[in-house]
Amino acid sequence: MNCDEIRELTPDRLDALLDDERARAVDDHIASCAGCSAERASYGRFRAALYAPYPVPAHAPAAHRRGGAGAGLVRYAAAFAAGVLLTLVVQSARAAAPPPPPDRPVAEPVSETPPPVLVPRRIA
Amino acid sequence: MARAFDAVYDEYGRAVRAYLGRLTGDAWVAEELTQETFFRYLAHRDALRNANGSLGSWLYRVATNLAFDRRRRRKTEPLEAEPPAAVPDAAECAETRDLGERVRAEVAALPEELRAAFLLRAHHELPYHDVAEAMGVTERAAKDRFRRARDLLARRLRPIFREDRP
Repeated sequence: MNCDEIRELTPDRLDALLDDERARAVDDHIASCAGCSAERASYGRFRAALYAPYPVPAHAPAAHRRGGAGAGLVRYAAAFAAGVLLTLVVQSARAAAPPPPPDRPVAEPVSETPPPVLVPRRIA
Repeated sequence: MARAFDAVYDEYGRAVRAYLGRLTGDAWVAEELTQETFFRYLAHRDALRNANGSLGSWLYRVATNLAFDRRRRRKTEPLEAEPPAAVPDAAECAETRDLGERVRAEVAALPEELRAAFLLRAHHELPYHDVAEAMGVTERAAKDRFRRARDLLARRLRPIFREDRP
């Protein structure tokens, strides 16, 4: 493969989208080609920025809201009730559960977002 | 696949909420759909007890379906009479040099199935097999959707990223 083909395949190589044979061919070429190696490093930096999770938007654009104020109140009431119920379910499950064994692994946070809030805090 | 509810919620609650927030673009909607996702887990956990596959994929699949269903329902409802949105869209964000804002705007502008594949793989780091399960498609289709999303984003954003480099 020539340099143009290698550079076209570099994103797929980094995203594990190539079969073993083509992945090896890309790796071998990059190991011996300074230009393609620099391009791979440059794309890698862009990829890191592109794949970095961004904060969740706090509010929807106004045009996405439908149904009027009455519907908003219904949505709020339903979400509030669901939140309360889910909170009670979690609490009762924890109260009923036996204490974890000493070697129970501690769950790792899986997101950069703040802790879950079960009761909505905003009135639509 | 089924486990104690509180352990499942502790492990997946934040991630599912964050995924739904980025998929729908609305933390309020994400909260509603996250609650619905875990209610469905409660309703189905006995059936899931002997099921094969990843619980995370199952939860992401429920969350994805809820978000897509909500979007389809909303398309058929009349718009509330409100002034136009004041939030900048992708084109307006093109005026800015803030790559983070551009990424957010361009991801939000993707077709929803491409957006879901991109978020599950790039942000939540699911294996392609799990992305496929979460979206209810073959692994090949999941890879194709992810690749199309990535290439669209790269075409629009990489020139800006290069300009930002010192």
